[in-house]
Amino acid sequence: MRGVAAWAGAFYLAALYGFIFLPVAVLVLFSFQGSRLPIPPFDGPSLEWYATVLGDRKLTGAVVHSLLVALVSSAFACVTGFLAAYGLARHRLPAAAFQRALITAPLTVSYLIIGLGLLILFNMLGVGRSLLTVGIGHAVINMPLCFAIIYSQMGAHQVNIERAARDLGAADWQVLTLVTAPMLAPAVMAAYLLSVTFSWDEFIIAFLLSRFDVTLPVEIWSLLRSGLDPKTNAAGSLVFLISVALVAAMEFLLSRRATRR
Amino acid sequence: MTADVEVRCVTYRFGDVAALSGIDLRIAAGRFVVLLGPSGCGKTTLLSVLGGFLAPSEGQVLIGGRDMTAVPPAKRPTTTVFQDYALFPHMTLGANVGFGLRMRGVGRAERDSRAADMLRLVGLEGAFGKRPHELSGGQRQRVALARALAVEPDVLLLDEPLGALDLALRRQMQQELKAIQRRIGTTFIHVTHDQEEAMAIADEIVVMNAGRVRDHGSPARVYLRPRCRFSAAFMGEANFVSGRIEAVGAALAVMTPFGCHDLPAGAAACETAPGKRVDLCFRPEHLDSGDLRPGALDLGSGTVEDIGFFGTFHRARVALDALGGAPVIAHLPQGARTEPGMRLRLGLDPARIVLLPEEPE
Amino acid sequence: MAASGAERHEGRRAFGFVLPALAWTFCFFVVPFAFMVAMSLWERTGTEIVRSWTPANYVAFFARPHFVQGLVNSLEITATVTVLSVILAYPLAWIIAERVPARWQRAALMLAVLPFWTSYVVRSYAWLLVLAQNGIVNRSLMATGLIDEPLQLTSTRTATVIGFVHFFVMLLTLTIYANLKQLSPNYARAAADLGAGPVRTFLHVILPLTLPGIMVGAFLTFVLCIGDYVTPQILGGNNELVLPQIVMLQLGRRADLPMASALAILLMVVVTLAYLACARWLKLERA
Repeated sequence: MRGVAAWAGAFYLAALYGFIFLPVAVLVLFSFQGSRLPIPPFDGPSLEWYATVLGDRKLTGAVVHSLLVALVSSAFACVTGFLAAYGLARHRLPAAAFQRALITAPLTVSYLIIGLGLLILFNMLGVGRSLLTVGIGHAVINMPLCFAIIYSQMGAHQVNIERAARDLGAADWQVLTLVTAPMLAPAVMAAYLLSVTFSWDEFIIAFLLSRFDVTLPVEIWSLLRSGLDPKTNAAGSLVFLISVALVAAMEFLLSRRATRR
Repeated sequence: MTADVEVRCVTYRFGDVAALSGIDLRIAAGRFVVLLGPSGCGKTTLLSVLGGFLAPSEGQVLIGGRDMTAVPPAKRPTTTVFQDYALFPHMTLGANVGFGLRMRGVGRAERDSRAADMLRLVGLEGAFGKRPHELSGGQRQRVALARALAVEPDVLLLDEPLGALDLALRRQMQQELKAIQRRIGTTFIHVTHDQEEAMAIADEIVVMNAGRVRDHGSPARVYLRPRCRFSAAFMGEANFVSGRIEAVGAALAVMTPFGCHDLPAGAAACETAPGKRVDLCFRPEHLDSGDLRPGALDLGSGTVEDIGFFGTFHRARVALDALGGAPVIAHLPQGARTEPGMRLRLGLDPARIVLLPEEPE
Repeated sequence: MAASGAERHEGRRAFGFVLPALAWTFCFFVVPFAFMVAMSLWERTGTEIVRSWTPANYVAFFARPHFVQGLVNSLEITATVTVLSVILAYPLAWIIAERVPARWQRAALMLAVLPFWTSYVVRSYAWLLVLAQNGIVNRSLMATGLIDEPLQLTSTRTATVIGFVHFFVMLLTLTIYANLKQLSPNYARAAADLGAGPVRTFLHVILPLTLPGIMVGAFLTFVLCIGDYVTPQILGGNNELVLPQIVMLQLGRRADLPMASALAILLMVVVTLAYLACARWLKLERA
């Protein structure tokens, strides 16, 4: 009986892992396809499509745009979120619950609606769509995320640590720069990397708010119009690789923090 | 560096609740003072008021004769050792201990050498480059102490600093704290709820309850001649028996359940007047069993209800006939052979009795 | 705590820390939302947007069957996806949390959610490959002789559901795993100690204790699923439109911002109702 249950469990695990990895495996495998269609039979391996991707000025340009938007908008989101978390976790402010609710409200709204709202705003103000407007959109969705992560890491035990610094003569800005920020560095870095990952992968806001210069997901979207194409596979595999690298960096930071506790 | 501390009529309210009400306290420079009381008695609040983390709703705090009531923590001649140590997790021990000096603009070389000196004072020489997470609880405690002392405060405030340590380590740290205080002469104000710790380290104990100071004196005085029933009970096990003062003269004539007896005039820890109702307080170790010594006050006989062995003594609960069967606690000698159900006769040296103002249980 | 003079002063300065975040949220979240509400109450006639208040767009929504059908499709797909994802993810999370040796658990979990981090455009495209006419699924089924003709899998509701379930199984595995690990192992020990077998321990102890966490995960699934445009557009195609696709259609072909706004707000109303239902359930559960 126990044996049967164990086998059933192992089978289920294998089946679900199979389901989860099937599309990714197919995507990556056929990015090495030799012929023009990324469907069976596999006739690779060939690096032809990676060469095509890397030689495509629009795609490489989109990578640069994506990185630019992700790094800059996340930096802004992270700093703003950190300051807000510090203010709300360490000080008694009037209507603090309302302030927290307002800052985290964008987390509960679909990206589509946030993108549409910003599109209307920029239309009415006569602001042209560009990478700047995409960056603003990504900061709107990532700032509450950074705030929530950093706020949740600001435990009560840190209050005494900051008190101790003040007790020993540190001014407010010294407490913030010498104690609070370095102490929370792992959480801040994790929030930043997660924010970069989300911005890097985000499509709908970037789609609505960009015009001539587009980010990578939007560029890949336009590749889809040409149907199944190993070039899209290669581009998608590269995007996946970079996302996994970002997540691995984040995981490393968080696990290092866990062992240091 | 040391200073006296004076607290004048300090009241602190959390909303409608008074955590401190009308605290008056004078602490001479260079003393090791323990604020003792159960949790919620206001001792930590008082320490926070002294450290400047909380501003009193009413009253004044003076340190070294200067009014500090409105001075922020950074500008006070006090530093605090926090209960959870509050070490900076991202700095080395040297940087932790040198932090206060850095804030005072002391250059790196001097700062490091003084931090090393402080680490040596607390027995952690050579640990300069380690980080807090590499240390045990006791070692963190020492670093917190070194960090607070490095800026040479006039008054060191310790908020239950030994609370998280196990018993053996706590005893050892008590001795070390006391030795360090002797060496540097700084006024130490130490908060704890452990009366044994208080007696082990304090020059003076301040007993607090419900936001008020209930007793203040040397450990021996507070233990042997408590000022109130709360103080007597908190410092250790005590027996209380009701009585009434009959006459006041060279001695006090007191009517007790054991008859009318003359007690020394010094027995009273309250105002005396004929007819006043009082509580007689005496400690279990002051009771004798068997043959009464000359001059002893006879409590009569009773039945042993329960007995337990505590190593240095047997703790017996004895239902006394004179009290209508109400029990008293007596400590019997290590060698005593007593069983539940046995009859015992108890006696007491009248000089050990303290008369306390009557208060409800 | 009553604030001291010093702390009160600090409080005013502390507001400065929060101000940038509040100002940002106000300018780029609250204001756009207000504009969107206003926009939804205006009307597009010809190429002009007429700025006079009218509920015409909302009336139009209920008057046009294909709009209402879009909402129905959205709700049906979202409900199917939520239920299927929970049913598939719970056993996976449970096996990882309870049956996989402790030292491999973190790796097993990271592995199980690795494709979570592909951008969703790429992920949907990958499913397109798998489900294509000559894709791996059709090839395998034909090779085993289960079917003679390739099935039409893409541009169907099934494809949309598969794409969604793939994503949300990973998300729910993460949340349910976290939930299971939070439980003290002593609950299961106590139940076993009192004579419950593994099945009854699970049904009467573990499942009820993790139910609030599942509800939160299910709600998250609902919100993300009903608001998504990419997966239905790539995998479902134009046969059965969902609400986000209809919103995007207003923007693209017709440049009808007022109608798009009204539809987006209806979408938000649906999510809010789901949130209230979920919150009410959680409240009842705790009481």
